[in-house]
Amino acid sequence: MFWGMIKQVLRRPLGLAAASVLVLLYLSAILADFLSPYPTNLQDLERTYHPPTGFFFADGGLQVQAYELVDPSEARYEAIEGQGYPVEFFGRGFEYQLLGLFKTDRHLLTLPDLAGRMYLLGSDSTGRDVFSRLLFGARVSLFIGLLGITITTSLGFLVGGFSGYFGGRFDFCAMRLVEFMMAMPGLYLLLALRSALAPHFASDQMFFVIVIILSLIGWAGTARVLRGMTLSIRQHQYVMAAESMGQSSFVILRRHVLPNLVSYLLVAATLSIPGYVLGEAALSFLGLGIQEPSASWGLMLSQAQDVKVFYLNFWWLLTPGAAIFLTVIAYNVLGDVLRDIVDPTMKTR
Amino acid sequence: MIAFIIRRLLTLIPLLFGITMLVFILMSLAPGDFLTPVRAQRDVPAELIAAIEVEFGLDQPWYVQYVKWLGNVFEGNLGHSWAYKLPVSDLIGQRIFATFLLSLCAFVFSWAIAIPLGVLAAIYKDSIFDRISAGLAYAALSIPEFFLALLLVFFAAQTGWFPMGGATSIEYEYMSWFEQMLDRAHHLILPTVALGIGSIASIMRIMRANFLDTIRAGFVTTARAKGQREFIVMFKHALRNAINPLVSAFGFAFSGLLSGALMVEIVLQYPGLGQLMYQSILREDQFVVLAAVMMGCTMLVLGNLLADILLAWSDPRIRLEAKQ
Amino acid sequence: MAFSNFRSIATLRALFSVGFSVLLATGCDPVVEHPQAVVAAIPADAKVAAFAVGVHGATVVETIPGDLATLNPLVNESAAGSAAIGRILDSLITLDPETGAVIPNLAKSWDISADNLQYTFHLRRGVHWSDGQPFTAEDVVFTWGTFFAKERDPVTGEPLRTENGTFQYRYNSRSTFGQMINGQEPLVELLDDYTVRFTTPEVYAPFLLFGGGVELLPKHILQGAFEDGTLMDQWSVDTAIQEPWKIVGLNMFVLESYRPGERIVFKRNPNYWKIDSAGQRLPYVERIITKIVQDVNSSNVAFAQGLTDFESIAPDNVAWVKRGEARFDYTILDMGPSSTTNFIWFNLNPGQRADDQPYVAPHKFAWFNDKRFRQAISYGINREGIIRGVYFNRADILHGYVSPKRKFWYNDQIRKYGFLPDRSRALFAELGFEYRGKDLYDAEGNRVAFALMTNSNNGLRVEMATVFKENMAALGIEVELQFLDFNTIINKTSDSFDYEACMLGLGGGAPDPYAGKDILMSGGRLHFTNPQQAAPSTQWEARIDELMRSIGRHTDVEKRKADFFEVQAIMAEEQPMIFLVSAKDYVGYRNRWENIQPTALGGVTWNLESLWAEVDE
Repeated sequence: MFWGMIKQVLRRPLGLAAASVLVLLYLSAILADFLSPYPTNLQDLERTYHPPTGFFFADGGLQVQAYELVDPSEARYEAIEGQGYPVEFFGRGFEYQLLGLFKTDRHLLTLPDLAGRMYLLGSDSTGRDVFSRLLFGARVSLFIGLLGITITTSLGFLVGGFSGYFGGRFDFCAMRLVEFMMAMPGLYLLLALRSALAPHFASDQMFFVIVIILSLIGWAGTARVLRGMTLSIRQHQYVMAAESMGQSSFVILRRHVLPNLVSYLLVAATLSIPGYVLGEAALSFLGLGIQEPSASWGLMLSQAQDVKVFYLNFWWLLTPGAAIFLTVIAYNVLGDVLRDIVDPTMKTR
Repeated sequence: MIAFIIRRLLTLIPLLFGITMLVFILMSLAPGDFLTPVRAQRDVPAELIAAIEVEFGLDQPWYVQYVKWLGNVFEGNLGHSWAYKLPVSDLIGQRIFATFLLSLCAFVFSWAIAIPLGVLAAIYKDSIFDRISAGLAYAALSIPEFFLALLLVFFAAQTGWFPMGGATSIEYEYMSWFEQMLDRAHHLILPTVALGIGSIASIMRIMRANFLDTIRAGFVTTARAKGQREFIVMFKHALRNAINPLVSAFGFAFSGLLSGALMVEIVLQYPGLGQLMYQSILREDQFVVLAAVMMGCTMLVLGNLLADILLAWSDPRIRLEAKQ
Repeated sequence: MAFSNFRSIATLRALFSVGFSVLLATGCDPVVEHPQAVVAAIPADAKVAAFAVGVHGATVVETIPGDLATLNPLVNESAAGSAAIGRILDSLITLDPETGAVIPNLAKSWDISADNLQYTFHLRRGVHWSDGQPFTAEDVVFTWGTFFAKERDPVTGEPLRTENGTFQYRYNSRSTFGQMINGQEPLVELLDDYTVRFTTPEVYAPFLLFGGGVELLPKHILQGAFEDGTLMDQWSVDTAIQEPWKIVGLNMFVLESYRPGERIVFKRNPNYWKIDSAGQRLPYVERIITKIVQDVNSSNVAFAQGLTDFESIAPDNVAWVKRGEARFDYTILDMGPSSTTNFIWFNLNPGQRADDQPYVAPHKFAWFNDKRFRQAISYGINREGIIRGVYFNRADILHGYVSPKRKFWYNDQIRKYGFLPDRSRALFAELGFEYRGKDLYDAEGNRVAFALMTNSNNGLRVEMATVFKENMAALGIEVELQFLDFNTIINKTSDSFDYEACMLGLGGGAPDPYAGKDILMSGGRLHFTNPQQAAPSTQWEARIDELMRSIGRHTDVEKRKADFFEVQAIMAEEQPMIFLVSAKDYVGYRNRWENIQPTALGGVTWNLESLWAEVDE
């Protein structure tokens, strides 16, 4: 069934586009070590706020333009005519574990001459490569969504599915709980939860704290939707037949309800992931999520909030925002396409 | 109808209690008590600290504190803010007005643009206009609100046409009231756009879908058959009916009036309730946080209630279903 | 079921009218009526300002990050409050803007006895408070009386004492302890209406500066509150809002109105005691409107758009603010090194928490307490990199406690710590630390790691902390960064001591070396590593205490200088505070202002009373 759905998605141009973008993003995140020329925290105080370096061909190969700091008080760099550093493909760089399996130090693009720097998207306030941080930051921003969704969907299914199927008191209590959760203003609750939980966790466990917080806020909506779907599935004849045949509820749930729900689950999940990505970005942007000096798209954007960034036009610091935008729009498009395939009349909000 | 409203109101009260209790528990989880940051400050009289300790029962378990806090709230005493040295009720009063103004403007802005756009997109379905507006809607829905606000600040800095934040200019107090209104309006432009663009997209899509459904309905064909001009058919008959489902959206918009502008307020430094809450969380100004969350929750619940009421009023089926 | 057109239009109309009236309501701002001020005659001893004659009436617009908490100088602890109070209240002496020496202000002259114990101040005659009442020596005596007023036994009239034998002071303010000389009060005597004599219990070199610099309070306004015990409640934010004219002072401005979180408006003091060469009363400025903003960046932005008149520009903003010079008609000046400092220190408090756990884990305390560890850390910090990358080259390396701005007191011969990580490693080896791979472990096998906290609202400090973390990572040390609210940090460093290392900075400070006694002496409130010690816990702290007392006691400038040089040398050797960089000072002012004469020590507004501009709006 999955293959069928995937084929249907890929048949539509929008679906194809969205899926490819997402695959690209996730691959970049997974292969971040390989694709990025520098580690996230490699500073270069001689090259803070450096614009993206230019490339040109010379001496039979690709070269990175060399720059000199013309005005240190303004972080203004000017290209030195004709001078560059040769770029090497699959050269040696910093060591890492590829896919967590084996150690290697090969990277896609490297600069053998350590005197120079290759900034595909410029450098930030302490000279760190924005492009590398963007790739590593993708890991946080993209996987928080997946992790959170797993938790939310499981929780939502358990609560929503059971209350839709069994009804009665469990249903009543569960729905009151769901109403209660949905009655809270999301961001406010996010902030309050974060300030309450954060002191009890170390800062490198922040990632999981955020996932927990976002999941706790998100599961209610999914539960409600799933309850509605379960209710309608329950009315189907084959389910009633199974019930009258005496099959245990558990088996019915597993064999009849769940498979039908899965496709709806998938759609709901896809359309909820952007909420997680945006939630984490918002938290980190406010300084309440992933902390310095780790990389996350929201955190990188918070640096771009500095006044001098606007006036001195360090536009490359805004690229994480474009990355977030791309991720969210891809998920939204994919979700819509999936919904059209599964059931165009489905209400997902 | 009245019975319906009363029934819904009754479910509202335990909801509010539950929410405030939850937030209260969360606040108590944070280390220290509400007065920890204050004791370090030396310009707060010790008597005031002692008085607040008794008033809010800070040396007692959290449920006692909660009850005391609730009691104080009903008297209008929301506690004291340490960061701003004002009673919380005064502080919130100032900020609520600002946020309310901004949300209202964003609401009017987005609906005023979204409805005509949605109608036009439906009328000219599948035309270039329709496709472009659909694409723009997607983009507007997907862009993070704070990023949009950031881009707008960037824009303001580069062009100098708009102020980069705040609600009023420095010489605000010395302007004539007309100039003051203009000043406020000038400062409201960027936050309104940042806040409104997301809603434009979603409302427009809903409007378009509803309008398309309505166009195919029976009474439209009848009106056309009667020889009415197309223009009247569209705007007098179809629009009226297509707007109905949006009524509940109005309720939801109302609910977000106080809590929805958080990120925009922070980025654009607009002195509203959301920004107050953020600052207070950073400074551990607990009373303010509690009060702000309570305000936001109340508005949200009231807004949901309003949406339900409006929907029930326009669609009797809901009223009946709820009775079961 | 249909939503009638009429209803929808009516709703919209209702919405609009609500919105409109709400908009209208914003315009209303009830202005508080001031009672008419009595304007007295120009004082006989009025000071004549040595500047060209100007025109009255201009308004100064400025911004300030931070809000008022109170306007009572006995209570105030905030920077914004000090700035506002400083506009309203004045003192006996002031500082020369060029040399920094003490010069007459409200006191037109003084005599110092031969034994350096008695200071007799001769006040200017004919000076009046802003409400028109005469200023006499009684006000001076009254002000000092508020510091040292004691709680007395209602029956015997004897002053009450606390458990440790010290007096119970009625109005405990910073001045109560700040003005005591080695634990004893100076004697204040009224000789006649215009003469006050102070007798210090022992020779106290900086008395002119600290004693003379006390902001004088009006006896005729505050006497009542002083007697019935409500003195500390006076001049609160409420007073500022409801009855601003009650805040009476001798300086150029009085408070006209205050709106919390929005603005403070000052008006010209009609009874100010300085005049220009044409005999007109100063200041020329009619009003100062101070808008309260979020932070320094918003402040700079407002100036860069030509909205404010005077501004101190943060070093990383200078580049782009300078660009607007021609368009918005202002000038940016480089005032050289500033007196702001940035430093890191480790928690050296050996005490315990309430639950008997030590503040700092014992193995970490052992590292922090060894000066070689601190020196090694200092060698590992790339200060030049910070200046170049974070401050855009607009800062200077700070080698020690004194910034190079204080030319006279600055000891250049102290031990300096360049960026020499090899020396760090050598020192670690001496301590018995070893490297396992890239990570550093101490002699007992503990991983060397600590947490550094700093305030989150200072962008440059956050960047410095990030650089510091990387510098330490290069040495194999793991540093966890914590960005906290400023108040939380103050709480941790002075109350709960729940921290390991902290990065902060100080700004300003009086030019006299004794001004640093709270920081440098082991019993000081601001002795960061281990504040308010009953007795110095290390030998070097004891030596510094001794030197500081000597600095306080001797008036011979060369002796004081030698002592202070030694203090700086010890600080540099022991590195209790690891100094980083000092930002350069940049000020901006709008070109419309005349009589601008900037000096390194006084800035651009030291002669605010003589600054004037054409009145256009």
